[in-house]
Amino acid sequence: MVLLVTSDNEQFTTEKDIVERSVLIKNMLEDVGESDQPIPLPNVSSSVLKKVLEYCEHHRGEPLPTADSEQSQDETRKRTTDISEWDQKFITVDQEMLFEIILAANYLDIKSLLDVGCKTVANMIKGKTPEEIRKLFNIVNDFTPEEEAQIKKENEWAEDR
Amino acid sequence: MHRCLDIHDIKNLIFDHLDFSELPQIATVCRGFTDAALDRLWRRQNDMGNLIQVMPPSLWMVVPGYSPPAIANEEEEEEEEEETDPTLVSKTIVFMRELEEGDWARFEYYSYRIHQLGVSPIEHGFPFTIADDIIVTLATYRPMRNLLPKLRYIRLDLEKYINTGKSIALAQCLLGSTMKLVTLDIPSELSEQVLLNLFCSFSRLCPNIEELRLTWVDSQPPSQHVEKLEKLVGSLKKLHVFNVVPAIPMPLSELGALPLRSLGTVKVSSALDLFEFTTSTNRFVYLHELVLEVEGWDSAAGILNMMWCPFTSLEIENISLAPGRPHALANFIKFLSRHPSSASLTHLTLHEPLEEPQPGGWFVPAVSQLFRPLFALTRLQYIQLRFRILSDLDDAWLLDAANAWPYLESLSLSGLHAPSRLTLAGLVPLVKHCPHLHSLHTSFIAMPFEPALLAGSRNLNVSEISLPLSPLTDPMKVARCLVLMFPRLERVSDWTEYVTWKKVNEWLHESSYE
Repeated sequence: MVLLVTSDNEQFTTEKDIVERSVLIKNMLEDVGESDQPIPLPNVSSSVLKKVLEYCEHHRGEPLPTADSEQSQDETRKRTTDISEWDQKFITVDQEMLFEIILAANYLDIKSLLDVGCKTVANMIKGKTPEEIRKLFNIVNDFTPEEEAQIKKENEWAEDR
Repeated sequence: MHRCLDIHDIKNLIFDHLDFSELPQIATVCRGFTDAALDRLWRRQNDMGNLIQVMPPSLWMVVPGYSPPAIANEEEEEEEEEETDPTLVSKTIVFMRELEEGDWARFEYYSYRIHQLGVSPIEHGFPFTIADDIIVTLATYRPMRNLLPKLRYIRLDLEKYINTGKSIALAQCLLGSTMKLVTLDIPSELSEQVLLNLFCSFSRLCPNIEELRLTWVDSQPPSQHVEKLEKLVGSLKKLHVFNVVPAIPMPLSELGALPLRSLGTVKVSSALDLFEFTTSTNRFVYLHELVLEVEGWDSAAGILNMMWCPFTSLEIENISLAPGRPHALANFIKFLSRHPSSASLTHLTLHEPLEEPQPGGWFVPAVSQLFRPLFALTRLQYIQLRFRILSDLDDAWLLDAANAWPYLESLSLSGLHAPSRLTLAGLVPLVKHCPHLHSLHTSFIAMPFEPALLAGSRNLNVSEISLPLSPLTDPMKVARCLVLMFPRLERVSDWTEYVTWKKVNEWLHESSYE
């Protein structure tokens, strides 16, 4: 069993083969060996870790992506936003939680979870105008109209690709 | 905005899942999105056309065709009359005035984002042609600077750079130490001097090249070109992949010392070449993929005898029509089945000319026996065999093949004649024992079989199969048998005189809507 301590000091006990989907935790466990030392996760809150562990538990036993397969899938992965049914249900959360899960997956180095999160954000962006995207994510437009027009013009070659 | 969207790597991952056509819009959402969106958008460019067009519009103009502006205008009018599809007209960019320092600002804003140039020249309509004087002008204005400082991959069609001045300018403009992958399409009429200049530039400016792929587009490379190539290859100490089409006698003495993983196509035509092919004295230490053109299967066996690499991919074409081949082939196949790579080989291609035998040159009593030693190569995934005699394979051979190759993904068997003993029922073991099979190209006698033979087995990966020279009886029943084996089958490619396959395709097409 592994003891994890979150940023808000909550403790989670879980099984090793579940948390080892996180490359960060796997490496930490290898470093500390067979000790019972708790593993501090100062960048992850308890509510987010709970979700992350739910994901890891569901995908327990599935093969981890290797560096080779990542490279070969690089191009095919792009532009596909298919998410499995379970993952889709899992990631149906409010926007704040979605971004926190992405940050946690990035920090804990859980590639498949990071991918699910980023695909979800990509799906939210698809087909929207810049103004709609700004509104969706509460983004301030820091371009002057001239700058915006220039970037649009210089890249219009891509619009029919 | 959530702090998550401030992290460049995360934005890259999100934008990776968007279509190119959406990225220009994404780039204008806010400054924080611009770099990640534009980096992805500009990473791969077919040519320099888009880049030159971000320079001030007063500097350049686009004209259709590859002609000077005055003539191009006339051509433009003609094309308008004919209502040519604008995406199919090649476009040439020309400069209309001298370059000025202020012209470079937007060029530099985008140029460092380009990592690959000339990736796919025909994927998105005709590419831009850059007028000769533009390349020379750019290189002359900034002689000491690399115009694309992060370029890692370049594909050059040298037909466009036959002019010496342009080729030198091009090298000065684009080549640098970041270059890792180079693909060149070389016309055989390219002058020795131009090629020498280019190869010298690669050798001097791009010492970190890891992959070099050369294609002489219309014929065998002249011997002078091969000599120049020897010098270039010898200087690239990090070369992992070296591929030349068509096959040439390669400088093996140089190549053996390089960290090559993949080597092709080597033309072996003399005993001297065989001497260079050896893994002794730490030569070819990392070689895993080899493409060979040999004159006789004896040569191929001789090479494997000296090359104790754990090959994962072997592609061998015997171009000899000499008598006595079956015996040499049998020896080669036996030898291959005992080679160290028998435990690692996943891709195997063996080809021979499909011509009729010379009188008295061919007599093969048992073709099935001849190829049986290949069953020892149990890791095979991709198999391509092209032999005149394959028409004589039978269902029993395919049954043993299916049992021997559980990882089989692609099987291609080409013979000269229509098969005499391989039937549609012969494919059933492939359906039962090769769950990864997704590509099939072979000939057989297409007559229906009893569906009970399948015992409920089916293959959902195969959507198209190629069945050349396959005589067909009862198209409807055969189509049903095919669909029982391959429920997702959409089309059978036939391209022979057996027009009745058309009926099978019609039935498959109709049934896909049911």
